[in-house]
Amino acid sequence: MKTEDLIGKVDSLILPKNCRNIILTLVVLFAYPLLLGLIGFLPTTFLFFVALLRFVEPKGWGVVLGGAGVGAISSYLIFQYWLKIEFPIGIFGM
Amino acid sequence: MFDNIAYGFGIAFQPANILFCFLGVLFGTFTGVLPGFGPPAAIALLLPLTFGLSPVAAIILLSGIYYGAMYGGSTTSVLVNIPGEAASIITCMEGYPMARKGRAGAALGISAFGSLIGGTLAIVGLMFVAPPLSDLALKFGPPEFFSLMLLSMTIVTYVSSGPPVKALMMAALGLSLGSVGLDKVSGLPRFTLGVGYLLDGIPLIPLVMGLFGISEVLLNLERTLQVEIYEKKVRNLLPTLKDWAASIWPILRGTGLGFFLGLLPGAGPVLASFISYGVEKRVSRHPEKFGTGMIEGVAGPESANNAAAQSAFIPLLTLGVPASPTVAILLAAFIMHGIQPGPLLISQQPGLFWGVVASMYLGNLMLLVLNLPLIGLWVRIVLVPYVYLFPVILFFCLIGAFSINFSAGDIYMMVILGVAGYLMKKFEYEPAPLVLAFILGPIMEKAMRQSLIMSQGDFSIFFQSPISCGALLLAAFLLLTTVLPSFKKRRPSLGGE
Repeated sequence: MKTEDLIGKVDSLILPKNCRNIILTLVVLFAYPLLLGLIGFLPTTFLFFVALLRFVEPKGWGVVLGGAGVGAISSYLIFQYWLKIEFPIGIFGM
Repeated sequence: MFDNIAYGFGIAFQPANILFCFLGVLFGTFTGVLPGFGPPAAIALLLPLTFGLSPVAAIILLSGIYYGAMYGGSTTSVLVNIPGEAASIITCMEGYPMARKGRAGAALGISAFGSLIGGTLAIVGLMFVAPPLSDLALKFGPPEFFSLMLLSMTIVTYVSSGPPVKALMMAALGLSLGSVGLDKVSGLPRFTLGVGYLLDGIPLIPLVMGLFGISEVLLNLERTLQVEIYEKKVRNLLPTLKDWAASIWPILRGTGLGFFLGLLPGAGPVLASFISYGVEKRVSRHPEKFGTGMIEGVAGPESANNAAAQSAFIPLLTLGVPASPTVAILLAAFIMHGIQPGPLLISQQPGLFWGVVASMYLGNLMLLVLNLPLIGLWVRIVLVPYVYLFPVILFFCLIGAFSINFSAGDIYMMVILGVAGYLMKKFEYEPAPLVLAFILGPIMEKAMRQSLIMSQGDFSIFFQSPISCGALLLAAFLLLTTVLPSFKKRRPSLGGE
């Protein structure tokens, strides 16, 4: 790979807008397992969707909270009730 | 032979198995429609959920995802010029121009029918080829298996896009990662860095989901996908007689091509579709019209990629040698369910083998029935803005990783590997050789050790049998040709397959 190409690649890595989204997503992805043990499946999932819907490409609060709510509840039903996957129970008891 | 397949149908038609077949192909098509989230990640995702099922049901489900994804990918290729995965890239070239001319229906229709014919004929081939091949493979010993797997890895490296050195580096990295954990013979920890989590080795599913799933999402986050749909309402899904006349030979040629290429490790559906396109262009009376919407350019490649997806099961089921990373994950699935694919599979587990084969027929048929009416649904999914789509994809990955061992550590591993995969892709290193090496490495090591025990430490055992020697020489030859300067051409990325 030529030096110019390499610099070009690194340049595209540091592009502000894109980089922000990616780093944010990574933070959320790392935070999820951390919080999972702390506050439990439902709240963590809810926060997960809130974070991604709100901070990556901001949508209005209505959409964000509604979407997060739908997401969290449907995942709870699918994964905890139907597929019976046992998630750690956090301080909220769920 | 025919009682066998009848027995297989008896198993495949059990209501539970029909359901799993349906779920598999449905999820497979869905996976094919979603750009970036391809069969490897999808199979890895559903794998933990199949633990409670019988092995037959699990394999029916997971295989359904594999060939289902071949169908789904073509839908988006035709309608929005976005290939669902690598095997559908070629379909964009003729299918999308056809859609722009108002012929999306015919393109989709011939693609579905071509896939059905290609897949079904390939399964017939499988039925006839697999049992004798198994018998032949019974004569294989550890040296032969080692050499064949080495050849398989070499071919995958050879076929990768970009400089061969990079692919070799990835394969070497995969081998190293595969050896992390406790050594099987001596019980000594290798590369575990004192971390307890790594004593069992790096888990496969987080690896695959991270390298193929998370990294794709991260890559897609860099840009917004502009989706331009050409025909919101697709009519006339049945190709006309004229279309059929033009397509029947491409379909048959594609099927033959795909069948043979699927057998070769490293080749597979992607290569089959590209070569089929090349062939159709060559034999056509109007090669200059290719690129404007020639139906032959859809019929051939689509049949080829489906046929290749089916025939890839042959080396898997008869030799236990996977032909591509996706099939390697299926191999891992077999092992996790306690089944050892290989020459003894057909004789020891006839129910499993014939049941899976029969359900492939069923699955291909279901795909035809599913894809044509449900096109509107798939289109709607593609049109969902990525902003809403990617949290769902990420979430599935998170849950999938967690559900293996109920361990948060797996999630961390997956995300870390996702970052690694993302960086790899940015610098144009392909994950496919890595994953194949990762899965094959331990198996190869075991075969090598067994061989050396047999020969009392003498390495020449690998050259004593014609098959083993031949495979090794071929691998060496391929590696040597990569050094030649004429080898610098760019090939399409097989990463998503």
